[in-house]
Amino acid sequence: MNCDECQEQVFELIEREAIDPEGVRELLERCPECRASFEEVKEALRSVAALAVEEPPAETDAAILRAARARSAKVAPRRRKWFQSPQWAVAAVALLAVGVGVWSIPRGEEAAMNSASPGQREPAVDTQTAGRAHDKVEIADAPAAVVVASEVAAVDLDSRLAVAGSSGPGSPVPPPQPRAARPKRKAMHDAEAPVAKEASASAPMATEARRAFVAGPSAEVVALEEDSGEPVAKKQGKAMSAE
Amino acid sequence: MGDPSDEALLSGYREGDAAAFEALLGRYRGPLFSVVLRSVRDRGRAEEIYQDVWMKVIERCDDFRGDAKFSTWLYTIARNLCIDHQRKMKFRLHASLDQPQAGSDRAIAARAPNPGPSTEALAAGGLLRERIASAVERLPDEQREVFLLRQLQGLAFHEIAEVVGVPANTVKSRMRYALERLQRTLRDWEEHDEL
Repeated sequence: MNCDECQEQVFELIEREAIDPEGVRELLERCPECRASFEEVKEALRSVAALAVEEPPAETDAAILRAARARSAKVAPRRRKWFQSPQWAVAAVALLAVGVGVWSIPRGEEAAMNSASPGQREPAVDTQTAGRAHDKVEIADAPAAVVVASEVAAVDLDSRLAVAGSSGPGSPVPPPQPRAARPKRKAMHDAEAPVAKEASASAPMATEARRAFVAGPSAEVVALEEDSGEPVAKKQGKAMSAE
Repeated sequence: MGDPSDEALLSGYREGDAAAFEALLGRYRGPLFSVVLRSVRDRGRAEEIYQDVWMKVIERCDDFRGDAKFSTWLYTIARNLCIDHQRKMKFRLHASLDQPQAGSDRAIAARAPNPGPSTEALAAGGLLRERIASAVERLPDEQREVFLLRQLQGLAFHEIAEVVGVPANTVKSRMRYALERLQRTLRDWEEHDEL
């Protein structure tokens, strides 16, 4: 490195951006002219370090901050997370309502079928539909996990009732309580397990009707048939066709 | 954890965080205003330009590229506004300086005095500061902007090169010339005081 190169890099050395800092230092030790140049730049930097930083007026900063906040107020709602937006919340609630509605349609059809059954079952059907109406309110309000839990509990209770019916009054299982609320799966379970249903107090009349059907025609029916010489069912059919 | 970077603050502001902008303003208000003031040499104009710079930051913050530094972006905006202002002033100055003043047959340019610091300013204290400020204002534009960005904002030479649009070596040369000139001016004033 020669003196010209050294003096060019003196400033960079002070500013810690020299390409060859070791070379500059070596030459500064040997060359008084280069050393004088180095001291001069150092002195100049020391002098100008006293250059004051000026402060802008506070009202100018206040005006800038007002403009910045105005933009933030516009931007913040637009860039809110998608799941926080009211539109998404409304859509989610609507979807949930539709889902619950679709889920409850088969239950409504079943209730209609039940209401079309013979007269003896009508009180029981009424109780069930009333209970289901209550169910709907509860299900619509309850989270999905709660609904599933209630169904599982109902199935569990039915199996325990079946056990209670077979084990007799000495069983540790508590006596069955009338239940108004019955989810759809419970009705399917009843159809598959009539023994458990008999243990339930919610449908005693339906059970009696079934027993009567299994036992055959009653004494009154037999007497009527004997009087007319044809079965009562045929008589009823004739009357209906005449109408 | 350290303070968030300027770029992180700007990103926060883009998402609507006004406090992030306030933090940025707090970091740059003094140096930025000083650079603008020393560039345009008029406090009223400097306040206008300073405000315009931040308004542009607010308006264009969505255009800021993540690969650039906020400081270089900010000072590029400031520099462009200062250049615009100086062009306007040059046009006005040429028009007014060529016109003889009322009550005088000489144009202002012909009788402009040595624009050193006023006696009042020197007497009020802060003599050295006033002299340095005055000496800086006399630097050629290209040397002054480099000197101010380095001295007041502490930008690296390669960052100044990005703002000014010249190679980093040119920036270093301009800085060296600026220092030599400042040193010479201050020495001249000291000698003048001794007389």
